[in-house]
Amino acid sequence: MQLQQQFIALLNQHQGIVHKVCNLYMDSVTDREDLFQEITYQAFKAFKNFKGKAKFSTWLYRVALNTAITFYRKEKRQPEVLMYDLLPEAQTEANDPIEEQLQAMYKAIGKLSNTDKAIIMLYLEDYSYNEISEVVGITANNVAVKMNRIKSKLKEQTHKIFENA
Amino acid sequence: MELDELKSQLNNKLSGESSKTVQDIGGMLLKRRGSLVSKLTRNLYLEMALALLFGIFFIYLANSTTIFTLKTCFAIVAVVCFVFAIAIALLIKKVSWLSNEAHPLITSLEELIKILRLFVKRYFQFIVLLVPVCFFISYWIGYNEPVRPRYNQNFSSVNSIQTDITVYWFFVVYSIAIIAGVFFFAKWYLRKLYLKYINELRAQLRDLKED
Repeated sequence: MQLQQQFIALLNQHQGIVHKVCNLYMDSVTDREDLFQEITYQAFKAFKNFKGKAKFSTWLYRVALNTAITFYRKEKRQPEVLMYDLLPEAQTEANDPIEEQLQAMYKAIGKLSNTDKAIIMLYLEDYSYNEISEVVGITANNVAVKMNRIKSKLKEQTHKIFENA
Repeated sequence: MELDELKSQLNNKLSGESSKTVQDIGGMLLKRRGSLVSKLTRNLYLEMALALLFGIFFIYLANSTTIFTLKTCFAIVAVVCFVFAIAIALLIKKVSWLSNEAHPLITSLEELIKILRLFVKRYFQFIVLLVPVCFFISYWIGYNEPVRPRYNQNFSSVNSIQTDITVYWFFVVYSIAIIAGVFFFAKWYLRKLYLKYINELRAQLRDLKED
């Protein structure tokens, strides 16, 4: 019971991480809710083996990303709603140039592969290449190579989005 | 604008608002599960329970009959069921190891693919091997039945069946058709259930390992 209380308090404090993973990996609101539920469940299951060697946030990222990548999605029950359309600022500040760039970048990130999304998410969180390599399980050099490739992809994608706009 | 210039804004945008309360989180700890690991775990427990139930049921049948053929047949099927249950139990242990620890992404993907492939392989082997095993038991042991059931003694046509070559051919064709049917059905069923996900996971692993 104490373990449960401790887990709930920690997850409540770090729920932004779970929201981030859900927003990045799922398009519809229902799928995001399902994924949030699943990450919470999986994290609680694994929590008894959390020894505190790593930061709770890093540990939670591992669980959340593992769950998101292997999430068993049901057949689409509703028309797909892209993640950037669900953002509150998406419509209201569409004329703001910074907001437009943010939306373009957001769209571009949404088009990355699942594993690239995991890397970019940790990068946005200011994780070092070594920390990213610990979560993902590849070498820090490999993370650096992948990061360069991801940055080029994003640049290319955002250009395309602006050209089409 | 470059990614680094938008880093903190993008990060904030992705987090959204932390809308879940402590009560919400508490309620989520025991609710419905939807990940591939959860689905696999549920399936494995179901398969194991069914294999054990059938094993016990066949032992009961083997004990309750006096006909040697049926006794042997039921006993062999019971043994096959128990062996399958043990194989499934080992897989459950592996899945538990996978879901009870926070492994690096690449380890999780590799292990999950390995477990899924093993599960599909064992399931397929079990279904496909059970058919020839059953045929073998029914044809071979049936032919050597030491205690002939009473009602068979009244069958005057039994001797003529043994000499009629077309009946043998019928059984050969019938057996092949059943084996082929089960083979393709099992393949289609497992493909529908798991192959799509195994391929998706493999693609993600390839992507991650790419230099």
